[in-house]
Amino acid sequence: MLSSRTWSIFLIAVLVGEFLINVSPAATAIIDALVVVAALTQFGWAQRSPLAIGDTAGRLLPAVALVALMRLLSLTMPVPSLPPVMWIVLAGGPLLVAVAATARLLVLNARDLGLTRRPRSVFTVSVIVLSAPAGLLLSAIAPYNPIESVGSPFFSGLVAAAVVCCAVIPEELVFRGILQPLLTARVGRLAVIVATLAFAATYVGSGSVVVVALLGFAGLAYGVDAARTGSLWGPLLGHSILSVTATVIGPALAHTPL
Amino acid sequence: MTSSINQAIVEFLRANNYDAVSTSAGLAAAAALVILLVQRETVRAWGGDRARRWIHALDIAAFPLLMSLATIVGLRLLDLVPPNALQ
Repeated sequence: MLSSRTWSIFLIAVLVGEFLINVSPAATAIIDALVVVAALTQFGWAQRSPLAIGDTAGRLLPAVALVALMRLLSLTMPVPSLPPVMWIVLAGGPLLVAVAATARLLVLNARDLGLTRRPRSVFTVSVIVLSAPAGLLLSAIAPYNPIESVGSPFFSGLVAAAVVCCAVIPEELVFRGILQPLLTARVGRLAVIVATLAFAATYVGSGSVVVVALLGFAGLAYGVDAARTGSLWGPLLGHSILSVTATVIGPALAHTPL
Repeated sequence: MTSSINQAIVEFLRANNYDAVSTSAGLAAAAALVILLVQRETVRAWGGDRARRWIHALDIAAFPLLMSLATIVGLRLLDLVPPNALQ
C-alpha cells in the first residue's frame, strides 16, 4: 500500500543531497540515484491498486524523481573537455525528454502545464520586469558563474539560447509546471513554499547564501504568479530574462569600457 | 546562473579526472539504470494495463540515464585510443 507521506521523504532526501553537493557531489549522486529508483518503483508498485490513478500522493512520486534526475544528469552528463555552456545542453536535453515522459505518464496536457493560458495581470508584468535588475544584481554578487561568457554577439546569442532552452525551460516545467500543481492537490497553498524550497535548494551548489536567497525569492515570485494565473508564461519569461541577464548581459556590461 | 551547472559541479569535474567522476557519480547513475532496466523487463513479462503504466514510469529515467551511460562509456573508450591514432 502506498504511504501518503513517502513523496515527502523522497523530497527531503533530494534536499539533503543538494545541501551535500558542496561537500561531496558523489554522495549527492548516490542519494539522487536511490531516490529516482525508489520513487519510480514505488509509483509502479502502487499501480496494482485501482485507486492509484487518482492518488495525489502517488502522482507526486514521478515529479520528485524528476528533481533528483535533474541533478543526477548534471553530475554525469558534462564532458570535461567541452566548455561549461555545452554541459548545460548535455544535461538539459535528456531532462526535457524526461519531463515529456512524466507529462505523458501523469496525463498532463499543455493546459495542465500552464502553457495555453496567457497571463494578463500587473503582478505578472512586475515579476517579468523586475527579473532584469535581479539578473544584473546576481551577475554582480555571484562569486563565480561557470557559464558566464563575454564574446562576440553571435556567441553570446548561442549561450543565451542554450541557457533558455536547456536550463530555464526544463527547470520551470519541473518546478512550476509539474511539481507545484501536483503539490497543490496534496498540500494546498503550501505548495508554492515547498516547490520554492526545492527550487532554491538546487542553487546551494553556487556556494553563496546571497545567491540562494535571491533565487529563492525570485522562485517564490514565479511560484506565486503561476499559482495566481494558472499560466507558466510569466515564470518562463521572467526566469529567462533573469538567467540571460546574469549570464550574458551583466558580464558584457561589466567588461564594456566606460 | 543555472541550477544544473553550478560552482560545486564545475569544481567537482575540474578537481578530479574523468575516471574518478565516472567511477563515483557515473557508477551511481549506471547502477540506477541497470535496476530500472531489469525491473522494466520483469514488469513487461507480467503484461496488462498496469504493467504498461509501470513501464512508462520507469521510462522517465531510463532514457536519460541511458544517454548518460553512453556518454561515460564513449569517453572512457576514447581514453583507450592512443592520441596518435586520432591524428
